[in-house]
Amino acid sequence: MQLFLESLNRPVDAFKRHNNKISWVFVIITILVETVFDPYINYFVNSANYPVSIDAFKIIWLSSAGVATYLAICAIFWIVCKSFGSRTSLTTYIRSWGISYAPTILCAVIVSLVETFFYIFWNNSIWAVMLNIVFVGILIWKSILYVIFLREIANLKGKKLVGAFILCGFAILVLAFVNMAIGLKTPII
Amino acid sequence: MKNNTDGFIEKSFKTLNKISSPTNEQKETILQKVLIQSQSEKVSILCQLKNMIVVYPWRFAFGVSTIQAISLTRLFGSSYTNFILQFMGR
Repeated sequence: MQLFLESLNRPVDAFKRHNNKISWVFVIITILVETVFDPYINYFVNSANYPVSIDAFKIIWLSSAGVATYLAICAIFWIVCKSFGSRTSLTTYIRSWGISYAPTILCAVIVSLVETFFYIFWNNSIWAVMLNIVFVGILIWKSILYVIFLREIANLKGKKLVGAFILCGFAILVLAFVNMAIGLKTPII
Repeated sequence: MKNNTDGFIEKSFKTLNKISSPTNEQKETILQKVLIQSQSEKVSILCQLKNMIVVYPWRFAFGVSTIQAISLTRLFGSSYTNFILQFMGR
């Protein structure tokens, strides 16, 4: 619990700890929210109104794609940061980047709830502003963690940090579109 | 003979220690100086902002997000909110 709170409140310390367990727990929770929680909540809430099916093959396929995306983004970080002079090893990226997944989990849960209970949010200005605050907040939070990660784990500063930020950002966008195209509503990045 | 020399050196060090250590009055003065210095030392605004972002990043993120949502929705109306939600939802 303490490690979990640390990853939320003091990410610099959490990143430096390279806790493999908490990193993978965060990644797996994100994947499970999207592949298991989302279809099941949709099934239980909306199956009376329209046909909702749960496909076991799709769950396995999307979960595998989620893990592959996580490993891919870590590998991209490693290659890009190495080209900018970072000496951090690939395993350190894999052990650390997952610690930044708290906003991703929150985003996955909210996307799932909003899509399932869409009739509550439909044509409601107050909810629209609230969701605007939450989604933009999550985006800013994740961006802060991204910069802290590049500074503390990849040990990049100044122009090198900006260069890696832009290149890795481009890779993040590409992976996000690929994730959305295959059916992962919140990208596992 | 050896023991006598050791004792002499030990005594010398003790005397030196006594002379070099500050008196109670001096200690008090040093403490006052340190306290005054720490009070007058101001942390730069940039450093404060950086600390605010790095510690509790979610607090800063949702704070900024709330300000942008309220101010820009007031400026552009619901079309801004719709644009953001459309953008986030693909």
